Amino acid sequence: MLSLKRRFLLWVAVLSSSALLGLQPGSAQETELQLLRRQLGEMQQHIQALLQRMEEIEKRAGSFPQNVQAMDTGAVPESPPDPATQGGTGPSPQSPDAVRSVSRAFNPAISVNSLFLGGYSSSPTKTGIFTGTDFHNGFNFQEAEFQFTADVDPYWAANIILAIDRDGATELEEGYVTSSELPHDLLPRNTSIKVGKFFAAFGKHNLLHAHQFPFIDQPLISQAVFGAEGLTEPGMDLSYLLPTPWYSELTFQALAGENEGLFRSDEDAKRRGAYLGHWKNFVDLGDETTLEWGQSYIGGRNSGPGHHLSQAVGTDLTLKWRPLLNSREKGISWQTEYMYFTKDLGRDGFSRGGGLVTSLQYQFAQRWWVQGRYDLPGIPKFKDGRKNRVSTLLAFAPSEFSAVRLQYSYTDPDGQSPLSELFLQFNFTIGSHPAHTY
Amino acid sequence: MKWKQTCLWIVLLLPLLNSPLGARTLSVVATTRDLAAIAEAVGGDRVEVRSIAKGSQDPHYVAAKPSYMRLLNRADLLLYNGLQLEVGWLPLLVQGARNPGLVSVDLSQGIDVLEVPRGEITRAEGDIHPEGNPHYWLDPRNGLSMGIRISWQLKALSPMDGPFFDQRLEVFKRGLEAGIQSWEGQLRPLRGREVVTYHKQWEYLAHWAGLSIVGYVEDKPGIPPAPKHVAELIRRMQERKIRTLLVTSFVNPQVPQSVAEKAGATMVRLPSSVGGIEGVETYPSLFETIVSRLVEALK
Repeated sequence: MLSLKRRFLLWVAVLSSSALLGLQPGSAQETELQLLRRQLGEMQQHIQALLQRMEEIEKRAGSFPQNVQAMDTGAVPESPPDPATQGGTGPSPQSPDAVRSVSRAFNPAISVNSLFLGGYSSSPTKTGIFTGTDFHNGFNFQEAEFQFTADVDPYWAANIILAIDRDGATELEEGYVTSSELPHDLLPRNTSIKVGKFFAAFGKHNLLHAHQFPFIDQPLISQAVFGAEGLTEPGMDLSYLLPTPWYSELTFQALAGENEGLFRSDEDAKRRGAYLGHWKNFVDLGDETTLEWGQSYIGGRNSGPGHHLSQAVGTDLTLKWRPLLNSREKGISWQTEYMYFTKDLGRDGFSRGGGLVTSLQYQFAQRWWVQGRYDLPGIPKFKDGRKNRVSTLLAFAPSEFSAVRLQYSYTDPDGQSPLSELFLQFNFTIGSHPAHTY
Repeated sequence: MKWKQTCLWIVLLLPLLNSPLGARTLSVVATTRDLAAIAEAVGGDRVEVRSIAKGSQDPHYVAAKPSYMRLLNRADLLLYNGLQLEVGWLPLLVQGARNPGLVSVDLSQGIDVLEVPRGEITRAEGDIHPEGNPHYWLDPRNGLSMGIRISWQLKALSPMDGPFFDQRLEVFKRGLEAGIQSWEGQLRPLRGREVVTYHKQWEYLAHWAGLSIVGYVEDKPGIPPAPKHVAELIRRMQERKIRTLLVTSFVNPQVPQSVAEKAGATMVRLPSSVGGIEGVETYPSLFETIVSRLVEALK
């Protein structure tokens, strides 16, 4: 039990030094001092002997001196561990400084993601394609995202994501708390709740942050329906895990209904709110393949006189394959999403439309992906949805925390001049290790 | 009349099915096959154990499939390895499980952890585990304390089955202790032998077996090795006459095979988990295979 011995040594040293310091010089204590000196000498001998013994054991244990802990079979606890002491090591002795200093123990986990973009468009005047916002030919700082995560208390966990865009403007991208257990059983079993501002559960792509996008820009149909920022709204989410033999989840969200793409919500007008439903199904087709199918609906009243609704429905299908063996070196993901919307603005008009996007990602080596995507907004046709687009992407990820991606997109002219776009994006993450959503 | 009586009895007895009085198997989910195997051994038929990572899968990189959330949603007990082995996927699964009654047990508690980094750590060193090397199940002596820990948890969840679990634990301990004695005997002649490994994964095994690991193909954990490092390693292996390169069964053998060939060494594939190769279905049989392969390779 060497660790015990080490601890013993430490205490011997601490006790003996404190005993010496505590002594006042004086004749009355001279004999006591001599006694202590003698004892100290003995202790030093004892320490020497212990150190020698430690070295012997270290030699015997091989070339890992730091590994010499109580590793012999005798060290296995014979009695079950005491639950009260399971929380790890006990509190360390407090120094006076520790009392004054501010504790960092409960700081949230922080991770920062940053995106840099080199872009080229064949038509600099029509740069609106890239996530709906402008970019310059040449280098662009695309976005930096700061994520803070921590448990609030035994009931809530909080997640706050701040984004700084290329102009330096800071925006709360998401900020919410989640819970699956509340006091007094306020929350039924198999239910979780989310309150705050979040990406609404419409389809698959809408849930992703810019650095998680499978391609550098958004699908055309997502942009056309929800705008550049996607459907991100303040609101409340209740989701329920159905008691089915496969994973099946029903989500209901009550949202502010302020998305400018889908709703007309004037600043001065009364907020009407919007309601969203999502049904997600997920099945394992063996150990290596999975299939996900989702259905989404959102509807809300537009501001202004009358009872005019904006609505959208969507369906998504994802097939993924990843081998068990060499699972970091190969993988395929095929995702298809369809959306349809109607927007009734009363006397100001009525519009409707829909579109499809399908993409294939293939990982052919640990660090390499090749991807293709086809955008087909315009089933049925609508004003902004007449252009088809084909994109290819090559991704190189030196590690889990960095990636360089090269994308080329060609947009169908539809009566105008064709548009070619070339992107080179640098993506890196620092800080706490984020878990990866499937 | 008889029919009605039967119905009455069924209605009266039905609630018992769900009550603690009725025989109920505990549903246990383990993140790895090793934890599952130990839980199966100490739990017997009073528990139903499922594992998330397959033995042939790298437990660092498991996809957080929603189907695992469903598994955790119905579980009574979650056994996990800890030391951030599952950090990339388990938090999402537990969050998605919506099971406040789930008891989670970190089995690394009470283990003497090796290679706890001292001082500043950075990702420039690769996928470092800030709490220390997580592959502690590869020392069978740790298996004993893991068994005790799991048995204690099972007893806490199902006190009625206490004597049963005690007896199972005793059998598990005796079997494993006998195994350890015999394996240590077989490994004794190999003490002090120098080996090279692929991933920083065999520290606990080497520590127990008295092997000395003098180099890694993957010099930074989780990062594919640079050619310069590989060349240097080969040179060092030739210089020190190291004849053995240990590789886990799920690693792509291409790179380590070529290193071994160039250095004039043999690549030895060892299962690093129960289920890692065919025929290894229990925790003791994992060491049975590892020890016999080590002895075979190093004799």
